[in-house]
Amino acid sequence: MDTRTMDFDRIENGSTVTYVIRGRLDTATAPELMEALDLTNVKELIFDLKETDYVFSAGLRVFLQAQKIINANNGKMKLINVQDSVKEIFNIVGFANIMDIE
Amino acid sequence: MFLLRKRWFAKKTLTFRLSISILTSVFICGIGLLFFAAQYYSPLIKDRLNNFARFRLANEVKNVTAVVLETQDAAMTIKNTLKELNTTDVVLFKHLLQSALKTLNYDESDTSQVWIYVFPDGNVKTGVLYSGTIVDGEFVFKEKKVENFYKIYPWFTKVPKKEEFFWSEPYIDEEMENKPWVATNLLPFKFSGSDEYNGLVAVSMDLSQLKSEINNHDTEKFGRSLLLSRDGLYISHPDSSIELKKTIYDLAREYQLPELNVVGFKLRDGVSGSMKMPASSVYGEPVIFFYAPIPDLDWGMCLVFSQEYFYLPFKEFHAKALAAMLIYLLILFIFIAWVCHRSTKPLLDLSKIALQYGNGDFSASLPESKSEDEIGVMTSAFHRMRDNLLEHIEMVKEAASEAQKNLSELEIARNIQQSALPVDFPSHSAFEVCAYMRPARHIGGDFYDFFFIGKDKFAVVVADVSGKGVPAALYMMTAKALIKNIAKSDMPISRVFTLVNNELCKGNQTNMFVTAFLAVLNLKTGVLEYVNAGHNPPFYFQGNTYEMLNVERNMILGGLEDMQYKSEQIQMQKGDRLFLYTDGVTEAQNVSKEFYGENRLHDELEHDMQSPRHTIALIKQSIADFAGEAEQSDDITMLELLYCGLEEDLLVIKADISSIREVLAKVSQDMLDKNVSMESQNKIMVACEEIFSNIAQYAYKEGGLVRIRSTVVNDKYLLRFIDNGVPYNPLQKDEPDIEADVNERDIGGLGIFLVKKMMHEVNYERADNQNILTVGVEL
Repeated sequence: MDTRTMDFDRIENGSTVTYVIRGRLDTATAPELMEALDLTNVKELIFDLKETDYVFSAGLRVFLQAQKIINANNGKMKLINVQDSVKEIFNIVGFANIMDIE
Repeated sequence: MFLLRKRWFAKKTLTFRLSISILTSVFICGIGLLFFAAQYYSPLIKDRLNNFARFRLANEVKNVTAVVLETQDAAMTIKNTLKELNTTDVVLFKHLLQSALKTLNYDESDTSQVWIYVFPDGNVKTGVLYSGTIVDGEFVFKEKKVENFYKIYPWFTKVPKKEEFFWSEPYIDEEMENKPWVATNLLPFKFSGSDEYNGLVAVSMDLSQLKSEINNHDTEKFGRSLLLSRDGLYISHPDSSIELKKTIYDLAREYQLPELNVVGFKLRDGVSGSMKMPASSVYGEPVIFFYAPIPDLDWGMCLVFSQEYFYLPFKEFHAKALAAMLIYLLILFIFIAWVCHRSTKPLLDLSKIALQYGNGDFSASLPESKSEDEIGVMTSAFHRMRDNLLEHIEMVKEAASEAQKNLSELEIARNIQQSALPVDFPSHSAFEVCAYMRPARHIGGDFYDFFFIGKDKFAVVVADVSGKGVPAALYMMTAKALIKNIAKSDMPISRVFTLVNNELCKGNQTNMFVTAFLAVLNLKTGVLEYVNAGHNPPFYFQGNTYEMLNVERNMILGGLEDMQYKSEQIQMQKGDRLFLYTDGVTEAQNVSKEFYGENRLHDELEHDMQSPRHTIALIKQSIADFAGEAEQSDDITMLELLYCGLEEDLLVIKADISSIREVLAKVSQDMLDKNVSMESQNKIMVACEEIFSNIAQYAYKEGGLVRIRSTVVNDKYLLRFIDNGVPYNPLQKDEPDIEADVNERDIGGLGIFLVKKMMHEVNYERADNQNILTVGVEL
C-alpha cells in the first residue's frame, strides 16, 4: 500500500478556492491541512479529492470544520472527485447529508 | 328416505322401539297364522253353510213330498177299495170320497177335490164323474155325465195308460167355483175282470195350500224357496206375480240369466246341486241357488240365498279373527311397553344421575343393583365409576396444587441453572468458543462452563447432573463452582476431578452424581488436556472430519470418594475443534419416539465448517427440526471449542502518532500475506488508523507500547491491539448523531463510530491490566 504522506495545492479564482488534496488525511496529516486552510472571504470552497486515498476521522473533522466556517460566511462548499472508498466513509458518518459531495 | 326413517326410529325411546319391533313381528306372524287358518277353515265353513242349505232344501222337499204322498195314499186307498169291491155303487163312491177327504184332513178353506171317473172299457172320452169337495165345512158330492173328458181336462191326453200315479201340471180348475190353481194326481185303474182301463181316481191338490206350507219358512236367513213344476213353471216364488205365470226358462230369457236355464235342466233331469248367480233385476244382488228335485212329482225345489247373507258367517269369521288379533296385539303392546318401561327405568335413572355427575354433583346416590342382569351390571359399574371418579378428582386436585407448587420450584430451578451459565463468549485470537443449553420442562441439571486458568490456559466444561428439579439445580451449582474453583488453582486436571469428586461425595445424602468432561487448552502450546468423569465422549474435528474422541470413561463425580481420574491430552492443530455435549442431544426424541442419535449428530456436524457459533446454531436447529412437536424430555447442552493456532505479535511499537505510518505499513503487508480482499483491507486500514491514534492519544500519560497481533480464524482477519494503559473501553463511547444539522454536529467521536460500522467484529476486553481491543473483517 501507498504510505506516502499528504500534500495539497490551493488554487484561488476570485472568490472560489479549490484545494487539491493528495495522499491521506490521517491523524498526523489532517492538522496540517486544518492549519493551512485560509477561508477568509471565500464564497465557494472546493475540495478536489481525486488523489486522496484515505480519509480518517481526523480528516473528517477538517471537512466538518470547513463546512461550518463556509456556512457562517454564507458560502458554498463542494467535494469533488471523491473516491468510492472515501465516499463510503462520508456516508457512514452521515456527511453525505450535510455536504455537497460529487 | 330409508335413512331418514331410520334416524326417526333411532330417536324414539327404547320402549317404543322394542314394542314396535316385537309387535311388527307378532303382527306378521299373526297375519300368516290367520291366512293359514282361513285356508283351513274356509272349506269347512263353506261345507257347513252348504250342508245347512241342503238340509233345509231336503226339509222343504220332504214337506212337499209328505203332501204328495198323502194325496197319493188317498187316491191309492180309493182305487184299492174300488178294485176289491168291484162295484159302481154310487153310495160307495160317495162314502169313499168323503172318507178320503177326511183322511186328507183338509180344512174349510181347502179347495181340493177328490173325484172318481168311470168310463166304458178303454173309452176315456165319455163317462161319469163323481166328485167330492168340502164347501163351508160340508161335504158336497156331485155326479156328472161327461161327454168329452178331454174338453174338461186337456192335459189328460198326456196321461199314460198305466196303473201308476200321474201328476198333472198346475192348471186352473174350471169346475170349481173359485177356480183355484191345482195339480191333480191321477191313478187309472181297471175293475176286476176288465182288460181295459175303465176308471180313474184323482185327487186335486190346491196349490195355494201347498204354497203357504212352503212360504211359511221363508226368511232372509233360511233362504227363499221356489217350487217349480215339471215344465219349470213357478208354483211358488217370492214374487207372487210370477207364480203360475212364468217358467224358469221365461225368466232366464227375460233377465239374461242362462244360469236359470241350467238349474231348470238339472231339475228336469232329477239332479240336485247349487249355482251362484250374479246380480240381476230379478234378484237385486248376487245370489246362490240350491236346488233339488221332488222325486215323486218330477217337480223341483230351490232355495235362493243372498250371497252376501249366505257368506255372512264366513265374513264374520274373518272379521272376528282380525278383531281378536288386534285386541291381542293391543294387549301385547301394553304388556311389552310395561315390561320395557320397567326394564329401562333404571337406565333412565342412571342417565339422569350420569348427567348430575357430569355437572360435578356427586350427591345423587345410585339405586342399589338388585338384579344380576345387564342393568344390574351397569348399575354396579356406575357405582365403581363414581367411586373412581371421586378418587380421581381428589388425585387431580392434589396433583394440581402440587403442580402449582412445582411450577414455582421449577421456575427457581430454571433461574438457578440459567443464571449460572456464562454467555459472554471470550474473543481470543487463539480460540473461539460457543455453547448452548436448553433446559427441559423439568430441569435436568445440565451445565456448561468456560474460564481462563491464568493467562495462557482456557478451560471448558460440560456436565450432566443426575436428577431433576431444584435439588439437581443446586447440586449443579455446587459441582460447577467446585470444578471452576479447583481447576483455577492450575493443578493437574486429574487431580482437579479427584478433589471435586471428594467434595461432592461429602454430605451427598440424596446420592446425586455428575458426569462431566473438563478440557483445558494451553494457548501457548496448543496442547489440549482433558479428563472425563463418566460423561459421553466428545467429537473431535481434525483434518476434515469429526471423529468420536476415544477417552477414558473414569468414574462419575459424587459417587465414591477417593477416586482416581486419568487425564489424557492431544496436540491441537490450527482449525481443530472439540465438540462437547450431553446425552440430551443424542437422546432427543421425535414424535415417533426415535432418538436423534450419535450418527445423525455426526452427520450434521460434518455439514458445517464455520465458527463454533454456526455449529451450535446448526445442531440446535437440526434437533428442533427432528423433534418437531415432541416434548423435550432432557436438557440439551453442547459446547464447541475451536483452536485458531498460536498467536504471534505482528508489531510492538511506541504508542505515538508518529508511529502510525509504520503500523499501517506493517498491517498492510500482513493483510497482503493473508490474502485479505481489497475492500476489507481499506476497512482495516481505517479501523487501524483510528484505533492506533486513539491509543496513542489517550492510553499513556508518559508513553508506552502497543502490541498488535493478527490472525485469520474462520475466514476472518482479526487484528488485536493490546496496551497497558489506563482502562478504557472505547466501545462504550456514545455514538455521534449522524442525522444532526451541520452546525450541531460534534467534531469528535467519529473514529470509533467508523470502526464499529466498518468492522464485522469488534470486541474489548480488560485482562491482566491490559486493554485488549479486537477487530475483524471477513477475508
